[in-house]
Amino acid sequence: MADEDAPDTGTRSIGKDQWVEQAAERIDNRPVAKLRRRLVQTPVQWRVLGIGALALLFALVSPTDYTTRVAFTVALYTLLATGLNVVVGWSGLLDLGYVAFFGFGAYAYALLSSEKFGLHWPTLVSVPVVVLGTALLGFLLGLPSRRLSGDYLAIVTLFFGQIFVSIVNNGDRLQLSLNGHNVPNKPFNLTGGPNGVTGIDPLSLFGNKVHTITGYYVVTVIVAVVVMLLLYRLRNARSGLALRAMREDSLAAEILSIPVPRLRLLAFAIGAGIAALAGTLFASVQLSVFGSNFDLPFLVLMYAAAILGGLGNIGGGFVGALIVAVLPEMLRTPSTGRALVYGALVVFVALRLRPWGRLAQYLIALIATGVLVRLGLAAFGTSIRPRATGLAGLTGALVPHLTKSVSFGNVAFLTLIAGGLGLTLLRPKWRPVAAGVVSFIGMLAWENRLAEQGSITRQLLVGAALVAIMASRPQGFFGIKRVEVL
Amino acid sequence: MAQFVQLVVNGLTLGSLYALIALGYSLVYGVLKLLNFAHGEVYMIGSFIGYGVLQVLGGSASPSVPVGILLPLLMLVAALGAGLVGVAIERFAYRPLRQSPRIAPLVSALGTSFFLQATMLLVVGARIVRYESEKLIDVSSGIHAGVLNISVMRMMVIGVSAVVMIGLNIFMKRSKLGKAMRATSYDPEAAQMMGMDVNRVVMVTFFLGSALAGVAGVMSGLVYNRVFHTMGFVAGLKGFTASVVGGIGSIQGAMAGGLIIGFAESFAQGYVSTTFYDVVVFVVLIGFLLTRPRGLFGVPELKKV
Repeated sequence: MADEDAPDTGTRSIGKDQWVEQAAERIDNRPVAKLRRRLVQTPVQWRVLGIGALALLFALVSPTDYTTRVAFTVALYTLLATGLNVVVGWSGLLDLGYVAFFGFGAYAYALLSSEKFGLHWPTLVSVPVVVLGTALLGFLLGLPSRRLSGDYLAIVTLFFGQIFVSIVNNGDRLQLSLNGHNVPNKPFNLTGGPNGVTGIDPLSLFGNKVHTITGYYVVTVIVAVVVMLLLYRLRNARSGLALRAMREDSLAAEILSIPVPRLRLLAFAIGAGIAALAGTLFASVQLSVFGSNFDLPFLVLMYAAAILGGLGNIGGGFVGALIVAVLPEMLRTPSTGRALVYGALVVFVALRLRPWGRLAQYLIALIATGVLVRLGLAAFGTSIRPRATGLAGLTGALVPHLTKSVSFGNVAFLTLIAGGLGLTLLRPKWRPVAAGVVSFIGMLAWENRLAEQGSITRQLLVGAALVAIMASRPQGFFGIKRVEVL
Repeated sequence: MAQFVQLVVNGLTLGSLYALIALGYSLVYGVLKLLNFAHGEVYMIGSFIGYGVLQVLGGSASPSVPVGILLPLLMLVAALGAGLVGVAIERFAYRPLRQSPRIAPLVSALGTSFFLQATMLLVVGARIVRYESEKLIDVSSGIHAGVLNISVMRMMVIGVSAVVMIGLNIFMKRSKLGKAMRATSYDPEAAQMMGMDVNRVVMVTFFLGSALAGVAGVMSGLVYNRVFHTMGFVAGLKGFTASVVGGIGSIQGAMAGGLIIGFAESFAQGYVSTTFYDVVVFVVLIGFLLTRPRGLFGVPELKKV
């Protein structure tokens, strides 16, 4: 009977070692991996063109003007995030005045082509002038910081962004009181102040005025695709290589006689120019511009878009823009927002709490907290109004909704922050239980406060996402990992 | 002349506040070589904490404790709260990134700052809250001569800042922790090898810097009577400018820089334009970066390859 003990030489069953040995091969042969390989092997130009073509197709099938408008926002953000990528992702310069360049472009276009001063420059003249002018401004702003470390550049540009908003908001009464004398005598109205500039000309290309949102969407997609293709060429050209060398190690690059200060200015100017281009599109689609369009929240949003998609990757901006533009639309109505939040929670729980024991701990903690909170509230004699419809009906049984009391939701939210942060400090053993408690507090905060404040919730999410992604995956979803040599 | 003196006093008040904020930037930069963008938000939160404590103690109209105890109490609680916020920011937003490329903590700071602003927007709302300090201390007290007005509050701001800064100086020079902070800022690795707990030093640094910002927040609430969720942004920028002008990383520099920025802003308001004084401060920053990038008291940074 020795034959039965001998190892089976056939292919029907294999030993454990062989199984491990072939693991890499098996993973390589999965359909997802094959698709991914295929995608990676496609040249970047074709990928960009393909996404652009799909985006153009969307214009045909888009059901309503609303969806086209959201798609336009995605395209505009893609353009902005791509420009930011050149400055931050390729060159490693933290340009926090980026949105000011966007605003400068918008305002410059608005002043050159609107009722304001009666100037109606044709689009094909004003847009290039604006783009070149803003690029020059970026160049000038970069000058004082060209020999300094990135920190100084960051703060100078951040300050510049603030100055821009302040000038625009007060630009309806430009006047200096030099030692008691007013110069000029009558305040000069340049920017319209808080009222902004209105009555801006729509784009007119080759004699056709663009009036519909679909038209703007198509123009923006084409512009974004062209910009990406040009950037791809730049990336592989001498200057692009030098830029990346500079990002990796500016000192070493300088020793290789790469003109680092000049390249910094170049990257800066390119970013400013792209932002200005997006600004002209923005101004012409809105037909009006206001200073509040270009403040800090928008800057953070653009950084989130550029970083989520991945720094250093040309197509990354598109992914980031998609997330950043579509997410707030979903948070706008509480019902889809609720579906999103609870869906995300369920996915997270299903993915992270793997062994059943941990999942059970989590659920028990969740429900126990719910029961305790309910009992506690009942003991204080608070009237509880559970919501009764749809998905809310399910959660309403557990999560109390106190419509009258704003402070209850606020307390829940602050507790959520403290709990969420504390969770990261706990030993892994206790995490499922603590996560259950924190999830419940999160639901409490969501139901009582966050759901009705969609725009603030978006800001909170963007801010938290930036911190979280820096801690876990600094290069973003599709970014190129950067190795810093010390 | 009276106007000039008034502007000097205004500049001193403003400058003291900026100096307190600048100290936070400088302390943190000294130890970690990190720009704490979220520092302005800590100042804002400090201001709100002070307001909250004031309301808990009965509000400005009828405080339940005498004013002489109330004001120090406000500052103390705000300093403590802001300090804790600062420590939390360091622990969760910066510490995981200590080995990352330089740009990562800056982006993280941007996110933190935005998150804190949105949090206060959610909790307090987009309104301007007022300390109503005129009910605490009679407006007519203080020095009044013609157009010259120096209220008690302004004197208090200048006095408290001076005391705090002198105290900080002594702390840095004499105390063991102060020495540890200076050693860590000089060479973190060597400090660690000498047995110092660098993480603790960093925590103390953040706590101190943030506590100073909290005190500044309360005083600004008392003097300017306006507290709102975006107030930290501009104040943080000015504070940072002050620390650059004085030489980032240097404590004396932060004080001097704060006063310079305060004077620049005050005189710009008086003699140039009442709306565009921010531009003047910006020009001062650019001017310093062009001519003396290491600031007044800064040491030029040598880079080892």
